[in-house]
Amino acid sequence: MDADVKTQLAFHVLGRSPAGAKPAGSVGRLRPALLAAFRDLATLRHDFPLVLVRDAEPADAVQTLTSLINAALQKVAPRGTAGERMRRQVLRVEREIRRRASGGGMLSAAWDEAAAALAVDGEIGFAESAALAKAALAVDGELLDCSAATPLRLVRHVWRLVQEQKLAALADRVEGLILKLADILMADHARSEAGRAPDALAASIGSGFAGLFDFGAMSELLGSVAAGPVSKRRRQRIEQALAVLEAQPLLTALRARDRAAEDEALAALVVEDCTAALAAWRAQRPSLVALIRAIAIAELEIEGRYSEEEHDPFFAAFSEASLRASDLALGPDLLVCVEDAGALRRAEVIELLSAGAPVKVLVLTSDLLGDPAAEPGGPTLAGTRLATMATGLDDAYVLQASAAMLGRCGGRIARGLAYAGPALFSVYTGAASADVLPPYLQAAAATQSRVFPSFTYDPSAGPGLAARWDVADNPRPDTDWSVHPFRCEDAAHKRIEVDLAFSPADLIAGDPRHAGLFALVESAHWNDAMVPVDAWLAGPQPIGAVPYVAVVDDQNRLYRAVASEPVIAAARRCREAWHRLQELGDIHNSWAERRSQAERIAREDAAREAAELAAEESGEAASASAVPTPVAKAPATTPAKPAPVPEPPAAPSGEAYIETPRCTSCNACLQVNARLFVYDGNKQALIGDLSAGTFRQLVEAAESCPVGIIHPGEPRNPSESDLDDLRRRSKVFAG
Amino acid sequence: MSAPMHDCLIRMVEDEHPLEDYQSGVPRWCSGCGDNAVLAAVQRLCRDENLRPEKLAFVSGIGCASRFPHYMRTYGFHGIHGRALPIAEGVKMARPDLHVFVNTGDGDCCSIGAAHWLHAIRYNMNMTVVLHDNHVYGLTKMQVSPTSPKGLRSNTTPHGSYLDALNPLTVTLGVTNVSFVAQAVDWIPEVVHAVIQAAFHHKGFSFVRIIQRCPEFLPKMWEPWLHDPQKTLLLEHQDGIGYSAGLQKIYKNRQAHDPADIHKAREIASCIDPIPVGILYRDDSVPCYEDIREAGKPRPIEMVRSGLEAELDKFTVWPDAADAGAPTP
Repeated sequence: MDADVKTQLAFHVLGRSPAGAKPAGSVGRLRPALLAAFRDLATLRHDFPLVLVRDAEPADAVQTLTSLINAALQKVAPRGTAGERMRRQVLRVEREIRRRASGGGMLSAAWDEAAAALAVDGEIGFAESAALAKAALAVDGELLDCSAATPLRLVRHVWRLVQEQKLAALADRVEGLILKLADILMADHARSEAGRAPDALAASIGSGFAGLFDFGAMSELLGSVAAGPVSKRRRQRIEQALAVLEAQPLLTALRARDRAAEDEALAALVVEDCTAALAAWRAQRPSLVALIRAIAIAELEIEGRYSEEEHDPFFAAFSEASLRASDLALGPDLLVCVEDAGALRRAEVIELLSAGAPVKVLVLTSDLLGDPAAEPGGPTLAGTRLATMATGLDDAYVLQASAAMLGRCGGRIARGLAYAGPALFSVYTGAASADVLPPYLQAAAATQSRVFPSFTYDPSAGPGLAARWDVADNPRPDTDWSVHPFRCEDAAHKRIEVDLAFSPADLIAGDPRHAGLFALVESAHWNDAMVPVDAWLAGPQPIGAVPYVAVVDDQNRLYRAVASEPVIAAARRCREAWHRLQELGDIHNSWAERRSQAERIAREDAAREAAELAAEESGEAASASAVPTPVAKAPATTPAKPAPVPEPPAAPSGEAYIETPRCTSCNACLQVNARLFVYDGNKQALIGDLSAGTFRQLVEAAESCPVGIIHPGEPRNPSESDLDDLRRRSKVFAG
Repeated sequence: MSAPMHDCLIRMVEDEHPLEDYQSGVPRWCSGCGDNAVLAAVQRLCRDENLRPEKLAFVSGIGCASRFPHYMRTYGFHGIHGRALPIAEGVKMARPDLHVFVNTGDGDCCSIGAAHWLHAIRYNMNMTVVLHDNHVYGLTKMQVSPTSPKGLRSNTTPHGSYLDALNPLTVTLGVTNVSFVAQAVDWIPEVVHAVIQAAFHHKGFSFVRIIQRCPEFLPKMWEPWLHDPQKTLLLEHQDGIGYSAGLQKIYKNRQAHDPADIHKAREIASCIDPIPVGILYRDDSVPCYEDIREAGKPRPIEMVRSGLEAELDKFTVWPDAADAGAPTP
């Protein structure tokens, strides 16, 4: 075995750098080779900065600067070369805004600053292009760059819009109920003796024409027609409900459009501790019960549907146990923002989510790999399983995404925040290693490497997993790894292009704390025994092979970093977890594959049996004599005759009858004799009491029927007068 | 998601209403009048859907058919000539929770109320509008209406009417935002009921024209159609209405028609012989005006009062306009 190979193999197996091997930390900061091109993020058109739109539907409240500028250019820049200059100029503005994005501020202000800074070059048409594109921007809002604070600000922004929308609807509803309940009491007062008193009547008219009325007479007149008053119990019930509805501070603030009070009330709903959130939820539950009870009573009273017999026992026993998810969702939701700080914190989160509260929890994970100084033994992958654990609760909305993906998750974040039950947003910020990679790149790398894949579990989307799970927002969700082209030059400056997969080993290799898990190999010592980590994980490798990842140093020199066993173990765990997610997202579903394989085998067996049978039959036919053998016929494939449509039961021969379904309810026959002819439940005529009328009336009714559906039959009384004439006239209506 | 508590509590005291609960008084329409068929069909609908009488409002204008609200034991508004639709729109804006029905005649709707008719279609408010089209002014003892056939001799046209009849279906189908158009004839009660039921379930302005007999002034007009089933065309489609086997046995002249096809609907609507019955057109995507304008949003009495005061202040004479801050002309 080659000496280089021996050294590399020893490192992979033992995790020690033999003499001569270059420790990974010895050449400065390393980064995965695929990230070599992204030294300056300002030049990269990526999702950040985001724009937090204030007056928008929650689902549209998060936009990317790139998408807004694309849309604006679509509107104002002419297609083709005519618009080329404008597009270039506006993209320069975008780049400048991106460069300044860490300062935040409003997009419109940042646009003006960027345009002013670039305008000093005096480029022809620049100012016009920038102004035109700015005017075409669909929205304005706060700029948000990718940093440790990004997820919280973003989620809180959408949460606030969701709460405002939800609570505004509730405030409107409550306000309507208050008005209508007050109307009931006002109407009762107007009907009461005090309300009908001359003074009260005079006050209700106002001063303009008061002299024209005699309120004493009016009072007496109204007194004679007054209806009964509202019962004492009902009045008490209404007043109690009114008191509860009017004593809701947040709703009162919303109804009064008191922005300061609203801000204060909403700020109180944001908590930074699971235990405190649970306590706050338990503390707010009794008032929520009272509110829901008051709303239910108010709605019944307003509808005039309150039945003391039915509803009194119900409301007497009304408690927290009576609340349903839709009731709990009426009130404001707590927003809990916590850092992922170990297993205990994760247990608290799960306990909070399973408490039945419609609480929205944002868990921020800043370190996925762990600190080897504190936890030796390889990358911990801590915090990557919390979200999948929460999906086991079934009724919790769960979203997992790295901060880099948040720009595309606005709609799903809004859906989760509006979900009627608990929701978890597990976000990897990528901010722990900001001195090595910018948070955006670090977070994107976590998604690309499958260490922190994106997924959504939405219990409100449907009863089945197919509707609830969504993993489509990952790069190449159908494959194990995302593969990208990588271009470089060799020592002879010859251009080389290879496809590289981005695996967890690449992410780990970029973390200087885990440099000891890799041994750098310069190109002079590369050999055929070195296998990329993705290929290594794909299947058994020849004895002596060693796994590596491609990395670059600060000068963009390319190395192969041999991965030690703990790296491979971590990558394997990530791949297994990714496979499970794929299955849940119906990608490479092993149950479906097993079923389709069984079906394929059954189909093949059936075809083989059929072929064998056919071969046997043809052999028998060939050997048989000319005597024809009766062959069993296949069951007839022609459908059976449809069942005859049952005819309506015929009236006894000679008896009068009516084709009731065709009756137009025109009243003509009932006006002849309302006992002989009657209406059925559908107000259509039929023969009632034949003995209650005469044959003459039957004939006259038949003649007056506009649709001719009365059939008089034969006369029952042979001694009735003019029978010959009536029989002749009735022949027209014979069935 | 579980049903809201309010619905469950209402169901605890849900009561059923027989057809008689919707009947108020004995109709004074002539014996054999088609209005009776519409009344029976509407009452059946109310019973079948278990509609609460206090949640129903019937609005009408002037004419024989406009007596309709008197015969329903529900809320009713017998309006003025041609103004049934704006009144109904006002009711719907103020009380979007009510099921609003409009009963209007061919004179009321297509003559004096024609302008309201067009704009009501465009507003597409959720209501069921039944045009009782008997082709004549009956209440005022026989004058021509816009839908009277050309040549009809009447008190106002003793030499016969001069103009071709207006076709309410093609007019309705030509207006922006049209969302539901159907037709029935009063002598086929099954179709009258089915069409009104479909109209009720459509969210939007459901326009149903019922071709009716007037036994008093046009007793023979529809005889050929009554005696020849081939002169009635049943429109069939999975998105339309269904017909019983018994009816299909009698009326064999049937045609497939997709109610989503407005061009075909206009073509069918132009046909007057045979008479097409069923749903001609339906578009559930047209927004309702009351939804756009957020009807039913609570307006506190202070808001109403301050709005009125602001309006009235415009016409107030202030002794010292500058000091009082009143608007100067």
